[in-house]
Amino acid sequence: MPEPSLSWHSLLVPKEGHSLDECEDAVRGNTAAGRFAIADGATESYAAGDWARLLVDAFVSAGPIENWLGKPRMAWKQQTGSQAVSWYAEDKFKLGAHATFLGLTVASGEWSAIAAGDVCLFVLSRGSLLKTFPMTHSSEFSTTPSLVTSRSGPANWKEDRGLLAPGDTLLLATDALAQMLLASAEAGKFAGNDLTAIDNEDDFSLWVAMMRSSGRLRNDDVAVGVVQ
Amino acid sequence: MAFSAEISRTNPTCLLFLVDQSKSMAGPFGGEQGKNKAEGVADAINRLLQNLVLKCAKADGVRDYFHVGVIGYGTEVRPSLAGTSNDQPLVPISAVANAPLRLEQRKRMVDDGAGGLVEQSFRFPVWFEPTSGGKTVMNGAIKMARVILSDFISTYPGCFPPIVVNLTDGKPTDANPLDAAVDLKALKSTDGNVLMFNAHLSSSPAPSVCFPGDEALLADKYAKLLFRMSSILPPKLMSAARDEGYPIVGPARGFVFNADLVAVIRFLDIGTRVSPGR
Repeated sequence: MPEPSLSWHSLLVPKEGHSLDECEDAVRGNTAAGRFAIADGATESYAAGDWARLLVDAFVSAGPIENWLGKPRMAWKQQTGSQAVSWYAEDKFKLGAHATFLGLTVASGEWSAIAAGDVCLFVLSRGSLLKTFPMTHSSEFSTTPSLVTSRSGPANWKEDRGLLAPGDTLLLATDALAQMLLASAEAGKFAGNDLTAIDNEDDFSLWVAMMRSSGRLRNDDVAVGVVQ
Repeated sequence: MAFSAEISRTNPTCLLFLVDQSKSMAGPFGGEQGKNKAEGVADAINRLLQNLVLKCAKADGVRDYFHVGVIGYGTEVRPSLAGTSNDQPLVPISAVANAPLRLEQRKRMVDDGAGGLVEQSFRFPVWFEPTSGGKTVMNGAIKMARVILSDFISTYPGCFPPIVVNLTDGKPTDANPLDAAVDLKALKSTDGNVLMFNAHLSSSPAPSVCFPGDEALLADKYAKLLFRMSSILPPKLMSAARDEGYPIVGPARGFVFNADLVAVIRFLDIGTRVSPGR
């Protein structure tokens, strides 16, 4: 059973110098179903933002049922194939789209998650960081994370689960933010608590701009989702 | 930290290719039976440009992360890419993408997603046809590259350091190019010195060598010269090479013998890469 009193908000800021249309991060939540998802389309793949959005929509609407990737894979082909006219678009289309992904399910006082790549879940309990999944240290990030592809074949999932207590917060973040949050925790000044209090685009954009200008947050698309 | 500048449309970097089109390139290519060196070089530059375009291609078009030029050297030394001239030797990568001379239908084997391989046809862009004539005026080409990159850096002073990729059979005839290479590599943006990489396409059937750290591994005197002209790979590129399985030992240089430098295009960081097997 999904938790009866979950709240959810999500925020998105594109990479500096890019428009929101070009943002390739995606984040969705469905409190009634108790399902939440975050994805980051790979910069070097074709229509990666579309793929990331299809992935989070599919997970949130159906959950991690058998062959849940089939529907978004078909949709991505139909949605983007007709645009692939030039030699380079045709070639990139054949290679498919790729994204990192984390899907979270909250039910009956527990959370469970599947993940591929370097998007990350942070479990907070009354201001303390209890756990992170699947990334555990800021040094683990690279430009070649594990990816979920729009082409056929199994994904290389990692899975984890845990108990939830009243007052716990679950925070989902794409790689640049996740790396910054882990680094802040390693320095003994976890920045995630400030972040969970931000629930509107203007404040989030300002916070991201401040973090980027201080050099703590590298320039990349940023997505965050908060379940409380 | 050097070599850490973001490569973006507002802060692009430059890739300048020097292509040996001299008479000696008509000789046989040791790296691939049945081909001459001119064919080997034409294939190499076409593949480099193809990979660079694909790196920047998105559903909404090709993003201009790179400005590109090709200096051909043989009968003369001149910017050789369509749309370039002595006055405008560089073009953004999107212009390169949309102006190949022709498209060839080719086939390749790709992963079928179930642990096997399947044949796939694709259109291969050709910008350069094999050509050979005149002398190997490598020194002149490197001096021209210095002028072009000096201008580029004055426009983009904070760019990731421009990269010069020289494709040659390694027998310069105008002058020893070592000093010109030193002058070229002395140019710098605020992010570091210009990088020079060399691909040596030899008639020798000796085994290929990629990113060596010691010239003792090279038998050919021209290979040793090109090795000395080549920059040491910056840490990020060296780490990417190691991740791809290249046996990196010591201060590996951007030099290959009878092999291609397409991997260097993959190593350039514009964001999340799609690596085979991941």
